[in-house]
Amino acid sequence: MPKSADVLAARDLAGTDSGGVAAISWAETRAALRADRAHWARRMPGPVRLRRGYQAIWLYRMSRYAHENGWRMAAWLLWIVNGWLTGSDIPPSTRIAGGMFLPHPYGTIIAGAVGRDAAFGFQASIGGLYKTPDRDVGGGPGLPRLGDDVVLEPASIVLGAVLIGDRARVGPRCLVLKDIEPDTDLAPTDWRALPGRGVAS
Amino acid sequence: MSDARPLPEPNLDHARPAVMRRMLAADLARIVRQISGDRPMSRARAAMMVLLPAMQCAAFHRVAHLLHLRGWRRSAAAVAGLSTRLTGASFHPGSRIGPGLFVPHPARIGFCGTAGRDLVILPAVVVAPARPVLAADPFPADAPRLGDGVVVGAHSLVLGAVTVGDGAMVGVGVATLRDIPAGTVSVQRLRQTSVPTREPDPVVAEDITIAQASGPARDRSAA
Repeated sequence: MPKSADVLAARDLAGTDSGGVAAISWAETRAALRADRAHWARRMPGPVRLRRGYQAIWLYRMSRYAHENGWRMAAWLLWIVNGWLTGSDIPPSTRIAGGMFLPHPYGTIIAGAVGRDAAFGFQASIGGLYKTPDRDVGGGPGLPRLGDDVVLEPASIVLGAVLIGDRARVGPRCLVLKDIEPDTDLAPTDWRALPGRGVAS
Repeated sequence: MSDARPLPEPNLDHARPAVMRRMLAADLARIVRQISGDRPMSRARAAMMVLLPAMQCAAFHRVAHLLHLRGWRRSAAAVAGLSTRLTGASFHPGSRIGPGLFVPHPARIGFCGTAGRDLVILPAVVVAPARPVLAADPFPADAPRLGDGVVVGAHSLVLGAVTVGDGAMVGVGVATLRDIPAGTVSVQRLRQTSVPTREPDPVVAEDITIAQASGPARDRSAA
């Protein structure tokens, strides 16, 4: 796995605090939002600030900033409002680097760490942590960490303490429980026709 | 309940309110038929089906589609957004769906495509083009096309410019990126195997033994 600046993403995610690292500053939050808008402009034309997905990311960034600066109640309230307004569950303990693209926030759950310029499809989710005790849901105890430029296609799920390399693409409705190398494309399992049914058989 | 006479679906102008009402009547008739199992049902009980989530979902989508076709795309997107919030199903307002839509559990559904008559959509289904499309966008040309009488099973996904033929069934958990021919029942290839990880529960095992011992005897006495 190449070392990138967002091994941020590779920091230990055991707890919700930042583990001695300095709290994120307002300038960093604004820079991340600028990167978000730049990524949205690359992928989707139109007024980015009116998109529900961008509003979800904006609320998450505010919640994250409040959380990292010790205003836990404000962070929690912003997380609640995010759930009401956009239908996405992005807890403030999640780390998302700049450049998040989330066109359909409804039903998305992001718990873990995400690198730069990620793109999440409809209902793509990462997570998989039972808080106490930290139980294994298949991918090992812990939360996923995604590298830079990762694309999660619609309905894909990443669960457990999984490391996904830079520029990997998780195909639609893939369930990932293992580490993924960088520059990998995952495709879903193909279906087969049920024999004895229908015109073709 | 005007389901007896078939509607000439391809010629219907969905932008007309009269057509929308007929489609909604067909949807309601479909719901009543599906729930009653063709047994007679009182009018009051049939009228209660109007309140079911399936009917809410159909009504929201028909209204949004009408607005979309009349050029009121932002209003259509607002209706679709309300539908997403209230029922959990987000239909693109531009998706043309024939009469008899049945969505029994409209949770976590994303639909952007065209479909014929008698479509069934089960929960957690994604039918969408490969690129993300917002509700206020014009309807994409590379959306999936579903034929008549298609059943889209729970947790399944149809992505890209895919054609699903008449009477085909997208099985539970199937993710398809290619066409499904008419009449085909697609099923997911299962990779899981059942491994006995625990000793069988002695009480349950004893029950099973008793059931197996007494089962055939009961059958013989019944026959």
